[in-house]
Amino acid sequence: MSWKNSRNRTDLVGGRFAIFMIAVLFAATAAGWILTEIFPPDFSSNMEKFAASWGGPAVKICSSLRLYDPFHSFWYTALLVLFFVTLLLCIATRWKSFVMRAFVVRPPACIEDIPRAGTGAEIHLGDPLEAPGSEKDPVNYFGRKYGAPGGMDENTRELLYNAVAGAFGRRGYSMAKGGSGGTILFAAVAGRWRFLGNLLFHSGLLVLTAGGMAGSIMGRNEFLYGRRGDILPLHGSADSVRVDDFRIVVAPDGRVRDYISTLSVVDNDGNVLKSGEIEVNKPLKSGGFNIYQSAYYVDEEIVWAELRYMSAEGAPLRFRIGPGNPAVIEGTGYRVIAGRFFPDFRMGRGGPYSASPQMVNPALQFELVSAADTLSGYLFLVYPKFNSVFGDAGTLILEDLEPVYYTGLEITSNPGAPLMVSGMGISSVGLILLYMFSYKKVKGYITGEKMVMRAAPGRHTMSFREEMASMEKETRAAFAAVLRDMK
Amino acid sequence: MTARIDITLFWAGFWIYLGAFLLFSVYSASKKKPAGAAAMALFVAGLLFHTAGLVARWTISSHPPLATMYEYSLTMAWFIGVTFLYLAARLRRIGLGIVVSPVLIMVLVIASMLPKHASALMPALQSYWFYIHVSLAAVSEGAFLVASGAGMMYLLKGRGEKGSGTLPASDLLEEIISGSIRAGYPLFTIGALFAGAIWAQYAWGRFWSWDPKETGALVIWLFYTLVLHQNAGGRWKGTRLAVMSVIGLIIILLSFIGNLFLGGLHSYV
Repeated sequence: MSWKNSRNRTDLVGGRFAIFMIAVLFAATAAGWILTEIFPPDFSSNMEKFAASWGGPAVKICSSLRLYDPFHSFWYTALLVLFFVTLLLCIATRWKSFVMRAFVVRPPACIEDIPRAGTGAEIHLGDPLEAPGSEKDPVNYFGRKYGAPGGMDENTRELLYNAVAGAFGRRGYSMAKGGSGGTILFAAVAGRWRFLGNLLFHSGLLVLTAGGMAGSIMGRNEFLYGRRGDILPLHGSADSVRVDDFRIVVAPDGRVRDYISTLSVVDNDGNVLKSGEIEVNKPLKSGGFNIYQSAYYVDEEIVWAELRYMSAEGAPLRFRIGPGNPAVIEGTGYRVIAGRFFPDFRMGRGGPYSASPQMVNPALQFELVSAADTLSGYLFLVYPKFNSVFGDAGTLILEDLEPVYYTGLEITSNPGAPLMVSGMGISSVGLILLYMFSYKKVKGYITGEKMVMRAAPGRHTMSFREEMASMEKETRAAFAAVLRDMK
Repeated sequence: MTARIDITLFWAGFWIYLGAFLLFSVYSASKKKPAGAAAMALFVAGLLFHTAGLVARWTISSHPPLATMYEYSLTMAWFIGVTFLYLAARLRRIGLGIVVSPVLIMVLVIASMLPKHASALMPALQSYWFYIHVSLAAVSEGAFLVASGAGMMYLLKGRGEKGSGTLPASDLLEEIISGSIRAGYPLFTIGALFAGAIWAQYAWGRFWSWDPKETGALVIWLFYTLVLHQNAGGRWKGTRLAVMSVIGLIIILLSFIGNLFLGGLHSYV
């Protein structure tokens, strides 16, 4: 059996296999979502530790399947590739049919093509209806009075078809007419753009996936961080990035409103190739890569700290200290020396440390030195009264400080980006067409004695059923008018 | 002091919606028009307070109320309310209120448990993509939640077949489930996934980072993709479709509240 007609081909590109693939991908992604969260973050770097508690084989399985980072594992990548292949085959085998259904309306080939049951109507010319009150129906009345089986001649059938086509046309349907031997066969179709939408949506997904794969294979991504004045070499390039300035904009409520780096891309000889300011949502493009403002960090160093000193008597004194720049408190004989700075102060077993490079709980270590003794401690910016009284020496409060910031830069190049953006654009247009248009198809025929119209099998919404009911009413009226004309 | 106004309006709207839900229940049980009219009037009043609360919030924080989970919930609930009013007026079916109002109240109950502080937009959110991405995500998830509400009604109706005259017809419920998912899916795809990915590329240089929220959104998208394919193929209809819409609710809630304990790039939301 040829490949074209084989069952394997049907299975692989058939809707059921595609649905199976979506189900598998859904299950794998949901499992990966959970696995990423339940695995300890240090699993990959401390496997020996986990092998001791979980057992060697368990850790080996987790490691070989990369369960701690499933979305970069071979099995998830294989699933994505299989999804891509399925999508490609689905489109390759169906695009023609989708295009035809979007642009061409064909009438039914014969009466047998028209559904026998379902949403629709059957209007007889001369059959007396048995239902009570049917004699008042204009179709029956005129049918009984003037009509007879086979009583409609060709012109009358044409008139009736035109009336039916008009009724469909007013509702946005496109018509196609055919038939032979005195029978008019017709199809009325609305929402054909849906098929084009379907094709565009899936094609866009294909382009998007291809772009994603191209980006992951050929793209590069690098994190750099540095302080004002640092020159950061770019990996795989002769150029470097110089941090000319970095500043943080703080809102009145103390929250960080923005962080801005002024950068220059320089070559080996220090020539500036490009320079500019970057901030979140505003990258700098240079050569084949983009430089993004990704984050910022606070170093365990300060530029200056402003302190307030209060003794039992006398006015409060304000002064600044910095690394290698102690301050003398006038009239007390004390010198204040700045020590270590902790942006996020925590006290651990081994002593104080900074839990993060962010200004969460800034604290400054200091020494209060006099000829007689040396006092030391920590001053806290967020909790200024904590640990601030030093007996007879007075009270010392940390009022403000300027830490040393590092700017966090992300350098990326992604050759798949244009494909991905195009894919998303195509898919979006497809989705709009797909869900804006409701596809409706009605098939029917007109013979000398009756007219039948029925919706093609599928999901019939209540609004469609209501539309068909009103169409039947309108067609009956058209039928009555034609019969009246026959008189 | 002004920071309290939006929260006061939120609570006023919440209690009025609750009253509307009770009246919708009375209307569904009795089919008495005055009860339906009163329920609609109360619902409109609730929506007015809700809208005023959102406007107050917008004024206080100086940005559209989409930046925190509390604001996102409020906006999502507001879209649900407005869509209901539109559909009730267009389809002339007040009975939909019995489906929509409990969903809206559920979203507001979740909002009531979230931190309500209003603050300036953090740097990562200062982009017009933020408004496109978050508002479309809110509308689409609101539509999925309406589908879930209708799904629960459908299942309740199925169990108490004889005494189920108080609930809307099964056909109507199935159509609400299907229609809501069909309305939500393109908005979610374009807004939550595509707009989010383009914004991420623009802000961080990466379309996708496998951040917990991103992965959650992908799980939601794959789930509804599956539901739509199965429904279109005539396989998941009726009770199965209703069950799936309820499972969808669980996945959306997991993704939504996951922010509270999972962290990641969306941890500020």
